[in-house]
Amino acid sequence: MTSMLTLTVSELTDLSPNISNLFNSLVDSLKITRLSIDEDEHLEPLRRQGEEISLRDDPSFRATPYGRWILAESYLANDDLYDHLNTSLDPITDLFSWLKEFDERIGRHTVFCPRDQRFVLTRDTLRLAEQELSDEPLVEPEVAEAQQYVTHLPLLKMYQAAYRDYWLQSGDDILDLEDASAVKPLGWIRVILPAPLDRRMFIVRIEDDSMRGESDGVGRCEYAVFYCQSRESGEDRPVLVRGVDGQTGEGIHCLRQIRRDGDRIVLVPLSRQYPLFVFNEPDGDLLEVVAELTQVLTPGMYSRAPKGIEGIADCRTQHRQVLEMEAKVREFFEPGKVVPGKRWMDMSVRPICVKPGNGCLQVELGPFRSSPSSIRQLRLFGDGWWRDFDIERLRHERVRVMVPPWTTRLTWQAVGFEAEDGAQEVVDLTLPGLEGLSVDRATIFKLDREEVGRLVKDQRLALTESYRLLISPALLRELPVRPPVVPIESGWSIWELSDIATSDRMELVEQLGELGVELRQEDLQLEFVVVPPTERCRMGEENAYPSFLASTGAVINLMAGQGGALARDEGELVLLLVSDQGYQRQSLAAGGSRLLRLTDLRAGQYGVEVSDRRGDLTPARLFFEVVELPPAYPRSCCRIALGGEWIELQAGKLLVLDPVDLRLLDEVEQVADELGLRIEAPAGWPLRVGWGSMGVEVLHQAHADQTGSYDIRAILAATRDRRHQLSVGEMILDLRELGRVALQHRRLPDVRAITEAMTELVIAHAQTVRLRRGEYLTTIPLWFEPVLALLGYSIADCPATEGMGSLRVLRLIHDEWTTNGSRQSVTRLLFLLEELTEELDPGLQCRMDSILSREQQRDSLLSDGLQWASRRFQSTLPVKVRDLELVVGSPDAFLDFLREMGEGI
Amino acid sequence: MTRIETMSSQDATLLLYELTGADPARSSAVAELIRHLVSSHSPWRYQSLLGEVATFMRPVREIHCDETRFVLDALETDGDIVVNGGAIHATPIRAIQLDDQSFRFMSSLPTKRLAGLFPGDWSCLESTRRYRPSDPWRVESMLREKGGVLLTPEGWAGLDYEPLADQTWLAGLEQCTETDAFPPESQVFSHRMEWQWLKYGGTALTWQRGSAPFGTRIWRGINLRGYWVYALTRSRSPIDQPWLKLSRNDAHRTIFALARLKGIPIPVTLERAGAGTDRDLMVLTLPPLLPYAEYRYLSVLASGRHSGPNAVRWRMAEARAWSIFEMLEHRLGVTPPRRPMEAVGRAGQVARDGS
Repeated sequence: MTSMLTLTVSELTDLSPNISNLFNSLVDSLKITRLSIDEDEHLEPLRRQGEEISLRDDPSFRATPYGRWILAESYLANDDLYDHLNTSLDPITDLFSWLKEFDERIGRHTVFCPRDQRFVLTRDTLRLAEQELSDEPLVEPEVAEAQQYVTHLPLLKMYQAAYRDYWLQSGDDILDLEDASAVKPLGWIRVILPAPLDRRMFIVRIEDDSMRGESDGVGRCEYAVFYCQSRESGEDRPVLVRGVDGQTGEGIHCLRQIRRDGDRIVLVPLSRQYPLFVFNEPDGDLLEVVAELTQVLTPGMYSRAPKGIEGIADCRTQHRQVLEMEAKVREFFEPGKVVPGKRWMDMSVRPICVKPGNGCLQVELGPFRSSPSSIRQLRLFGDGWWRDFDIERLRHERVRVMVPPWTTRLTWQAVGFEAEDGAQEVVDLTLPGLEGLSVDRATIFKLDREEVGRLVKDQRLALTESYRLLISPALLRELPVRPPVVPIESGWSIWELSDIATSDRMELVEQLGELGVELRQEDLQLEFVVVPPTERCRMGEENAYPSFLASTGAVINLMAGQGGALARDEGELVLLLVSDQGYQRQSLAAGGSRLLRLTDLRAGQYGVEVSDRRGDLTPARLFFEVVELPPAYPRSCCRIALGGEWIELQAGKLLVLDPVDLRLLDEVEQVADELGLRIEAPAGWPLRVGWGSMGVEVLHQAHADQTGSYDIRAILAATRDRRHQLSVGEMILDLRELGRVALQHRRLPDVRAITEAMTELVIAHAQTVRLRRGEYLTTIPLWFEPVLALLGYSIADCPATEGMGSLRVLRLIHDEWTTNGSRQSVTRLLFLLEELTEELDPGLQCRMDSILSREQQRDSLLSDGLQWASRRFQSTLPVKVRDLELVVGSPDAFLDFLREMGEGI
Repeated sequence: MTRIETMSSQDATLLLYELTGADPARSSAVAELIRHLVSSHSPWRYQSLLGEVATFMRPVREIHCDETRFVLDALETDGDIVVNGGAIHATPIRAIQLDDQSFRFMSSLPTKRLAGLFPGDWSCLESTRRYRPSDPWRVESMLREKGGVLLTPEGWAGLDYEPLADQTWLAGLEQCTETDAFPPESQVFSHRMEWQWLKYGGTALTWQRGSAPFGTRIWRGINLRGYWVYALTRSRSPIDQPWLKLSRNDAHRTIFALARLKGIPIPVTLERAGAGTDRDLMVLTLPPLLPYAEYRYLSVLASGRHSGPNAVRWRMAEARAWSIFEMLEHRLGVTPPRRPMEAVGRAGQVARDGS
């Protein structure tokens, strides 16, 4: 066949051997190739050598309607492909296989001409060009005069239509002043109408929904044919009017129905969302009817064949996108998304997956601020197990419990629900989101910034994200190649995927496929970069969004999942910016920077969406707010309250408060916490709690919570021992450079408590004391020390007892308060005797006076254990002996005992 | 109408320069970015903030989280942020008067915002900010109006209220170890950390990886949440022994206390800054591990700059050098260089009794 053709070419044309060879080789290659060829590209080498040749010279070739060449015998399948794509809507992913199959159907070599503007061919994928995915009318910028108002009508903007005749009639002066585009049509549209076209007709694309009724009318983005006339329609048809307000001189043009009521003319919209206009001719208002709407164009009426498909460039698609995005922005910023009082059963439940290992599967719940107080506990039931959630905790915080992998739906019950008769009830609940985990495909947890995996429903993984895939034992067994999994309980495993973009993609795709998971080949991601927000706000439980200052604007980085390769044709990515002030759409140039700077922003709430025209990629969205002023910042102020009175701390200084009995803080905290200890500081500010009686001893460190408060109970717990064991001291609250406060502690004895404690001591140890009289090693710590502590003393040995025989002397130390704080001093001596009687031996009195003199004391206590007396220096009077066993039984006697023996009570 | 413009990486660099007032390649730009972020939201989770800094810097340059950690440490030491384990908080405005004309400001507010509140000249050195107002007398009242405070250098440093790095300090920690220590190989942070140990070298204190000699007590490791955890053990790694978790400040104090207890000299040098106008200036080189109070005290009297990862060079007037040394010796046990003074000249070490 080839040789025959070659012969034909040589015979029919008197071609040079070079040309002949070239043509023959082209024939050979066109027999194999499935695409038309470019004549210039192939003949250029010979033309440069001076040969004047064209493929037209050889009947073996024929031109396609699109200016390229194929073999004369080949079948050009462009129209068939066009029909196919219009029917199936999906692109043809392997064009050459498709053409080969077509060969068999028609018995000829089938080819495709890629210069056909209806198609876009990328490698071997063929799809309809964007313009073909639209049923928008084809607007031709210029048409021949012969076609004007014969086959084509001009497309005008509404304001052009309203004033065009006026401008045209006003002559050149006006036109010079106005932009020439004011009268020039936007283009021409070929239309097929029931009636012949007329020079008084024009087409307008409707700009609002004022004349869209509930089921009729005409709305935004639709095309309508108007007929110029200066009368009002008698059939309630919409008319295009222009008018002037007699008082303000303000002009108006709009599409409305006209109602006349005497001198009043009312312009009525079909949609109630648009205003009525009332014109009063006696007030000087002027109104002119310009044209009547005669026909709303449908796709069958203009030249482009209807496809039934809306491309992204389609006005209506874009309009819908804007409406959807507006709704998303509204929804995102909806105030009080977590509405107080919202039915608590509606609260979502979140399965999560923390670092792989036993217990990594958890259920997260709460906070349920509005949960009914009648319910005490929530119980989550699985297959043979349950977990309890404490409602009290759930009211305040988010609670997680570990759960084993579950394959059946988990159910909830409210436990401890108190019925009217007081009986305990169990109430069934329906909480969403805990369907059984799939055993035949992996369950996907997407990692958040805290590296907590959160369950996602989408079975596609983005290259830029990290995931944990939960795999059932059955599924793992079936895998031909075992991925690097970490086993968890019940034979389930977790596969951590963090560097998807750098993994061996082919192998990964195969492995994921076995798990029922796809890899998104390309995805869009948006992030704010470079310009930091002035505030990061939280909306409800999940949504956080940044606020940018209007003066700084924002910068958005557009990223693709696949290594940033956004291999898109020019304008195929579109950015849509929506706010309460309107919307803007902008095509993103191919190959350019993907950093987008947004400036001249006005205060408001915004949403930005980037999508591709083809719709292959999931659109990426960001929400943000623009504010005029920066937010408030923390103040350098700390304050403390004790007894309900707030005192502000002085930065860099120590504030010393009057002494109080700090033991009472626990009681106050329990009974009336508003009167207890309170500390306020900037959120997060550090606090160090120390005890300062013998140098500062650090007992507790904490940071203020978000409200600037500290956990007082933790502070009290850390200092409890010191406050209860020591009679004096200082609790130091150190708020660093913002101030320090010393809470002076002075234990205030209380007679009732002392009586009770002394009674307990007597009951517990009286017998022992009686039997072990004189055995001070035992009785001092067991008996004397606690009794003296109740009397207000601590004790120390007195060295002045040497040479005094069995006489044992102790110094009684009392913590005294002065204006400079606490001071310890010896206030009395205690003489321990084997037997105490009212009449004291003069020798003993002399020895005691000698010791008192050396110790520079005037007062002493005497005791043999249960008997107690007091004696002054050099007194020879009989002492009054009191038996502690007896006095604790009589309040009056015990009070007298305290008066005489005690110190600082 | 909003302007939507594409911008190049160079444009982004210029914009970041404009916003932070510093070359984005330098740590002061990172510090300023962190201040912006911390002022916009508090508290930040440590890990999240590391990620956010990387995100905002991405069009300009790649930033490693170690660099961000370094800047966060500096900001914490200088009082611009408060770090509570894995949470980072904003701080209010505090200022100290350095001399008749200038003030140092501590706050998480970005410098641009501070400059809006306090008009005058502002300059940054690493993570510290200096303010020269046109009317210094008004600064205190302005601070009061804006919710800030003016502190004395002593009040700012808080030396009077901070413990010495000594045996008492260690005894307190030992006591805490009895009750608060984590068990060895603790799973508290869900993963085993790669612990580093502190090597008391002759020329520098350095954090080392790998096996440590027996008796090593101070350790650090980055936990799952991205921040440094400091640990005190009895003698071996926290993997093998119970360990007491320390804050960074407490860990630094402990480093000096252990050195004092064991008689290990802390590498420190004191040199003349140079000739000419710098002749009266001394340069004290110290490890970058001072506890906050001592660091802050020093930073008021001297200007410090990092000289590599293991040293900070403090420039100060000669008259102040020995009072500073007295403070360091008393509080941290840092002994001054023992070499007798050589002829006063460039880089000559100066003995304590040298004049």
